[in-house]
Formats: sequence, C-alpha cells, structure tokens
Amino acid sequence: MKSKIKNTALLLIIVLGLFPIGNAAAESPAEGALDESLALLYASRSILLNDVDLEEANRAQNALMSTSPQGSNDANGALAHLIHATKQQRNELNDSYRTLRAAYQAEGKTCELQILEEYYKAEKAKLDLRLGYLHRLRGDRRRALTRLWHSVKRSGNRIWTAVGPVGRRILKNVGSEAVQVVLSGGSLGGGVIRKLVIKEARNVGEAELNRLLERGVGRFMQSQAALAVAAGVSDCTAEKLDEARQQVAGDVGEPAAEKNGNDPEPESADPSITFTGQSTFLCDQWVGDAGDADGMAKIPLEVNFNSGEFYGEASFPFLDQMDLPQTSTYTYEGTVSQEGILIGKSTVSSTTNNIHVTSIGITVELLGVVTDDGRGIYLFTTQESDTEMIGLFEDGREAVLNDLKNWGLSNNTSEYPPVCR
Amino acid sequence: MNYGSSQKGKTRLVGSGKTRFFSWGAALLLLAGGLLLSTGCLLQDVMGRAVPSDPVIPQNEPYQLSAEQTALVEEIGYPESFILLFYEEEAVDGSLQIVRLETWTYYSEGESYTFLNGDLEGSGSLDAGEIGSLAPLPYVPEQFAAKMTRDDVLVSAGVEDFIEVPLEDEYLEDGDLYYAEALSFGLVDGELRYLEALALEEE
Repeated sequence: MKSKIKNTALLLIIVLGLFPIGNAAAESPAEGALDESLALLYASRSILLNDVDLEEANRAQNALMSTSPQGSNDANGALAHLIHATKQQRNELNDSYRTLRAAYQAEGKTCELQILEEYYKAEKAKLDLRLGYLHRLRGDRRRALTRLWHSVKRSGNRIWTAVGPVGRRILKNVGSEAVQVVLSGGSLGGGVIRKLVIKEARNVGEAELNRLLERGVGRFMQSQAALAVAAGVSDCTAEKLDEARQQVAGDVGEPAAEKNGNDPEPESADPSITFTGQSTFLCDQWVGDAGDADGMAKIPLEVNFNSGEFYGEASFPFLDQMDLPQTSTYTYEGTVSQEGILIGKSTVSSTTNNIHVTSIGITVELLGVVTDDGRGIYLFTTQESDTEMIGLFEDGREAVLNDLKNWGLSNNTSEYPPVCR
Repeated sequence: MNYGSSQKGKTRLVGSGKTRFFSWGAALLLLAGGLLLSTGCLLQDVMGRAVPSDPVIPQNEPYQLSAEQTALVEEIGYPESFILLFYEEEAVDGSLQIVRLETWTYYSEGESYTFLNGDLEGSGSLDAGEIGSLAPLPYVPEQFAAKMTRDDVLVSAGVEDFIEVPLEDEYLEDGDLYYAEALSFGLVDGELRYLEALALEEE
C-alpha cells in the first residue's frame, strides 16, 4: 500500500510536471517573420561567439553556489546566451531609433517620424516582452524543478532518447561545444586546427550582420509604409509616405558601428565634404574631371560645359560608402548663359532605392550662377519635396553640397552676382 | 478472473519491488533528462551516428541562382561564407510572400554582396585584416531554399553530425538552432529560416 501511494505520488508529480505551471512559457513574443529569422541569427551568433549577458552569468554562478540543482545552473548558462542576444538586438534597435528620430525632428519630417515611432514601439515592445519572459523563466527554474518537465513534453521521444552521457556533458558549455562542432564536424582529430573567422575578426562578422540588417529592415519598413497607406491608418498622405519610405528605408539599416562611431547627422549637415577635382569653371565653360570625392556625394563627375551647354554623367561615391551598387547616374543637360546663369535639369536614371537621396527617380531643376569670386553655385530644387540643395564650386577645386538653410545661404540666386556679364 | 486475480497479485508482489525500482529509476531518468533538456541544448549524433537513418529527399523547389548571382559566381566564384534569411512579408493585397535575403562574403576579395530575392541590393568592402588560408566552404547558397525542413537541410548539405539546440519558447516559440561543420542554421515551426555557412581559417 505504501509503495502504491509512492508510485501514485510519483506518477502525479511526473504527469503534473508535463504541464507548464504559470503563464510564463506559453506565448512567444517574437511575432513577425523577419523578427523570428533575426532572432535565430542573433542567438546563433551569441552561442558561437560565446557572448553571454554578464549579469545573467553572475546570477547563474550564484545559483550554483546556492542549493539550486545543477541543472538550474546549466539552464541559466544557456539563458544567458539568449538574454544577451535579445539585449543586443534591442540595443541596435535603440541606436537606430535615436539617430533617426533626431534627424527627422531636426528636419521636420513628420511622416518619417510617424512611421519610425510605430515601428520602434512595436519592435521594442516585442523585445522587452521577450526579455521579461526570459528573466521570469530564469526565476522559475531557480525556484522549482517542475517546469523542467515541460521541456521533456515539448521535445518528445526523439530528443528524450537522444540524450546520453555525452549530451549531459555538452550542456555545460553550449558555446564551446557548438564551436567545436562547427570547426570540425564533431571531431578535432587529424591535427586540423581551424578558426572561426567571425570570431577572429569580429568587426567583419558585425559588418556582415549590419549589411544584412540594412537590407532586411529597409525592405520591411517599405512594406509597412505601404500597408499603412492601404489600410488608411496613417495620417500621412500617399505622396508623403512614398517619400518617407525612401528616407526611412535608406536610414534605418545603417550599420550600427558607423552610427556609434561617427554620431552621424543628416547628410546635408556636414560642411567638411570636399572634392579634389581639376575642374575649371569659366564663364561659359566648365571642363575637366572632378576626380574622386572624399565626402558623401559630389556631383558632377566628368561634366562638361561647352558652348553654353553642359552635359555629362555623374556617379555617386557615397553609394560605395553605403555599400550600395553604383547603378545610379545623374545626367545633366542645360545651358549656361553669357550672364553666367545656369539653367538646366539633372535626372537620376537609376531605379535603385533605399538610398538617402530624396531626388532619386525624379528630375532636379538646376539654377545657378557663376559668382565674381569664381564660385559656381547651383541651386537644386525639386517639386516632390522642399529639399533645396546647393552645389558650391570654389576656384574649380572644391565643392560642397549642402542644405541651403544649414549654410545660411539664400536660395535667391539674384543675390549672387554673375561673373560673366 | 481467478487467473487474472492471481497474476495481478503476483505481479503486484513481484512488481512492488520492480515497480518501485522502475518508478524511481524512471523518475531519476526523467529528472536527469529534464535537467538536461531544460538547458535548451542536447547532443544529437555528434559522435558519428548517421542521421537520418532513412534520408528524406527534399521536397521543396530547389533554389536557382539569379542572373546576377550566376554572373558573380562566374566572375569570382562562390562565396567564402554566406548568410541566408527566409521570412514572409505581407503584401498590400494581403498575400504573404517569401523573402530570401542573403549576404555573400568574399574575405579574400574583401567584398560582400547582399541579395534580396536574387536581386543584387548592395555590395561593400570588408576590412578583414589578417586572415590566413581559408578552408574550402563545403556549401553553396543554392543548396538551401525556403521551407526546407531539418532533414532537407541535412540531406542537401550532406551533414551527418550536428548539435541541436532547442530554443526556449520564451525566446522563440518552436525555434531550433543547429550546428554542423562550418554550418549553423535555424528553424521555426520546422521550416528553415536562417542559415549561415561559416568561413574557417586554417592554421
């Protein structure tokens, strides 16, 4: 009778243990397909690079020193990887958000702000929820063993039978064992010693990751904006949203390292951009090549003014810096009068998207003058946006592109006396 | 009935000891297993067992390189490492479209290329620093496609030894990571969502 009671009690414990207690385990906070794929990537990298959350690792150590079972320590060790991965994902989201918010607020871009705010809130909520679940799981595992049975249930017979003595050993160091398998396929025999490149050259591994995120998030933002328009849930007009999509898509995914390192500002706010071409800007003639630019964007390259006309094509050095294909081409056409007035237009022939130029796909009207001091000033205006950009050529050797407002320059070209009268 | 009753009693008598043994043994076994599984990690055939015993032939549409990808392969060869992400994207008409996002890395060339559904979306230089001789990557991107199952990936990659790391539900429900030689991949709900072919430097 006594043994029957024991057996029944044991059975009850086991059966009850198969069901999750509490509500911490049920729902996955990661919704959205892209999020899930990224979560896998972050978790994998965290394990391979043996990145753990230090706070979590310390807690795991404390758990070991207490009376908690050995399994609890192993569980927390593995959790430390996942918590680190989630925090890393959240940190990068925060970095992107702060940078973009500041830029959009400064530029008064309300549509971009609206899309960005919605995106950020939703993503951050998911990650916060996930972190909360993971922390609660850690607490649960410290307190009771019963939750462990949930894993047994979920894993099924296949995994149950696959666990053996070696499996137990491997649990104690997920990262190093995973790396060993990756390096050798399970055995380091044969004297072959290999290294994981993304571990040896961290910056390269992060650059790959950032590049992937740039495209993925950029595309995701575009689809979200399109859905917002279709659903009529956005305050923005379709035109504004279209503009916003291009802006946001090009910005959100910028590599975090670049953001952190250079504290980037809007492209138009950097006055230090120069190019070192050999062009000469005369009254009715501008000849020579512009050479390479060391800034974000210098146009035109190889643009020729001749006999009162100018024409040419320009590529964008900044596309290379942004890891974008050099498929865009500015074409120029127009005239320069004897009075030094430049009238023409520049058209971008590229279909490339995701780049931080509001004039992509549209024609930019050019209006400019040659000034007394030898500067050529181009005024870029577009109908699609209120962007006004200026090309400033000094002595035919330097140029800057910038926002008129940031430069304190007037957009009234009559204020710049032409040199060729 | 008598026979049964007799047997039952006998069984109970003999079985009380056996039952106790099995009960506690099973409990210990389950306890140990639970502890192990609670970490979210287990060893699967890492010591060389062949899996699966009856290989599953991938049922999914094989991926074909796009024209741009083919041109790149012809120009500089297959990548020395690559990352694939698969996910669904909702279109304006409400339909779900699968996106294949991939980054191909050529450490030797110092270049990296990103493709979205086969279209070249960007390229850039990599500052890999001092990297020694790379081991030949035993995988190529077209070996893997969306919707692949674990066994599809294993068969396609020719992988026999691997580690399976079931992720916590709290992190990603029904998410599993796998590690094999120069390979890491992840599934959600049994479908391939992430795969990374890893470059290895030989010493």
